[in-house]
Amino acid sequence: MTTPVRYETVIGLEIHTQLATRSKIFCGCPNRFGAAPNTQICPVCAAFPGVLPVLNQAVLEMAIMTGLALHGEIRARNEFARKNYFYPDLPAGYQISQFELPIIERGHLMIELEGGVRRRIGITRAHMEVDAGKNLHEGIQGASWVDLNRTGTPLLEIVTEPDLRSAVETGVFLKKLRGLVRHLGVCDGNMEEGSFRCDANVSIRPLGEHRLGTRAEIKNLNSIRNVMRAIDYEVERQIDLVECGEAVVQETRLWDANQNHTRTMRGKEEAHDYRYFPEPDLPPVVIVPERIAAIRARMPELPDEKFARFQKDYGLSDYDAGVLTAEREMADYFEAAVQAAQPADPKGVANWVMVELLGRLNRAGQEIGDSPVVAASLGRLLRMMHDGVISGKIAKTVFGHMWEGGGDPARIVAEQGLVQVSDQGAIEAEVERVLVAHPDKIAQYRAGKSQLLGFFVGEIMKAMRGKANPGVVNGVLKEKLERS
Amino acid sequence: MSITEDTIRHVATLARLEISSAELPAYTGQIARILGLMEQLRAIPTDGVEPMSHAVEMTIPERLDQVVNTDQRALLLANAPDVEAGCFRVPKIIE
Repeated sequence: MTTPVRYETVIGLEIHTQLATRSKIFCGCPNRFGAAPNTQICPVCAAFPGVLPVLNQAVLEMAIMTGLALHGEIRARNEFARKNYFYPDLPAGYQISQFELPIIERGHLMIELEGGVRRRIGITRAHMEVDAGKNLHEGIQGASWVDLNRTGTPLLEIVTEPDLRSAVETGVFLKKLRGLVRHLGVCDGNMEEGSFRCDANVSIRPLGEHRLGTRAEIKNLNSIRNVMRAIDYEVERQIDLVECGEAVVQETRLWDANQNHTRTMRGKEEAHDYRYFPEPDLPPVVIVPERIAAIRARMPELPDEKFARFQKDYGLSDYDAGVLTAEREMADYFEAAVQAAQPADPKGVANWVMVELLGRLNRAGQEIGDSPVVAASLGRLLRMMHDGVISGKIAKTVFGHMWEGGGDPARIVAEQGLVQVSDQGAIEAEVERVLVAHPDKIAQYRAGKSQLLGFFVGEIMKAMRGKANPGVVNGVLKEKLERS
Repeated sequence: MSITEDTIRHVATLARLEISSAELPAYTGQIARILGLMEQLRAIPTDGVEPMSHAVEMTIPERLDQVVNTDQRALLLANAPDVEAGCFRVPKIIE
């Protein structure tokens, strides 16, 4: 009897990010999703004879910015190349891409896995290229329609090393990369609309083997969840093949989210001879160091840097810093709230943002940018709590009003008469009233039933409509109960 | 690199050129001679010379990220052999 072979999964990704420029990469047509067919095209998009492409400088700068954020090398002299193939959505008969001399090489992105494990995922390269148009087939009799609006949309294709080892790691990596490009403002990261697309190269090998197994390339992955499901399916399929003594075939497979499986995409294979050559219409791209330095200088703080700073400056835990730096808007909101809440503890602010605010936003299906409570208002509310003007309980009530109608917390507190009562005399009078009404409970308390303290506090709070300063109530109450 | 009729047939297919069997020997011979001419360049020492991709020594011009084009669909579709619902109409693509 032999021990069963254990397998290791090896995954490399190719991610196409659509760059969020105003205009297309090589012409002045709008770069916008969802317009009526062919209303955003020009002779360059339609590849009319004699047209010439002119590079959009924003594309170059976004590519450099992404390269810097991925700790990659920016190639001082890089080149565009023609990738030749025929398809109706590609009127020129070639795609302008980069081949031997891409703009970005040898980068990496760190990912954080459960249990605090950090892994470095290599970025082989990233290159600029142009997106193709769209073929429409559904419900059309005997023909296909071609919409060239997407033609000329700038893409940055990011290629990873085969460093990922599971569907979970791949999901973590994609979330991190998606967050990064959104943070930089170079891509909106919308997978459903196709502005952030991912193909996965998946193979397996016996544990301990160093050579790579034969890979299948999986396409048609329109969400991170589908990427993960497709990898899980594909790994099972390949292990089954190998266990049955069959070989994995190198091929392109399509993920079918409805049927929950991958299927082969025969037919496109023989055409994989793209005959790349340097694009004659575009001279080499030369990037001087001063330009890179200028771009670096105006880059926003990176999520990893922010993460470290939030832990150090605000004393946040790994988890809290992770949640608050996952999106740039979230981080900005938190910092603005901390500023307005000063000198209240930033950790308290973090709790309010993550529990009260995010809780309500999630239930309403809204993003931080939609919050009816602005950061400065939340900060002022927490400042009032810190100063003892209101209790934590009242703060939650006020927050509820702010959520419903917006507005300034101080005004809400004043209008609704919610200012906390810390006056010793007023509280003593109320404590006295409650104690007189419950002589039996006093006896029980003094006989050792100390949990009755909570009952008394509750009664006093009820009588004072929650406005009594809990610290003062506790002090007065204990003093009176213990004095026989 | 030796050029065979198979090579010519493959390249013609990739370039969507229709070449009859009768034409194959002629093209094979001509392309073999062109590549033979290229072979002579191997005699030149090129160690330490940057590969050249463009004949003119210039770097890429750039344009500002501005939208300057407006809808010109009617004009662009006017040259198409077949049009339907604002789209270029092509023979059914089998996926």
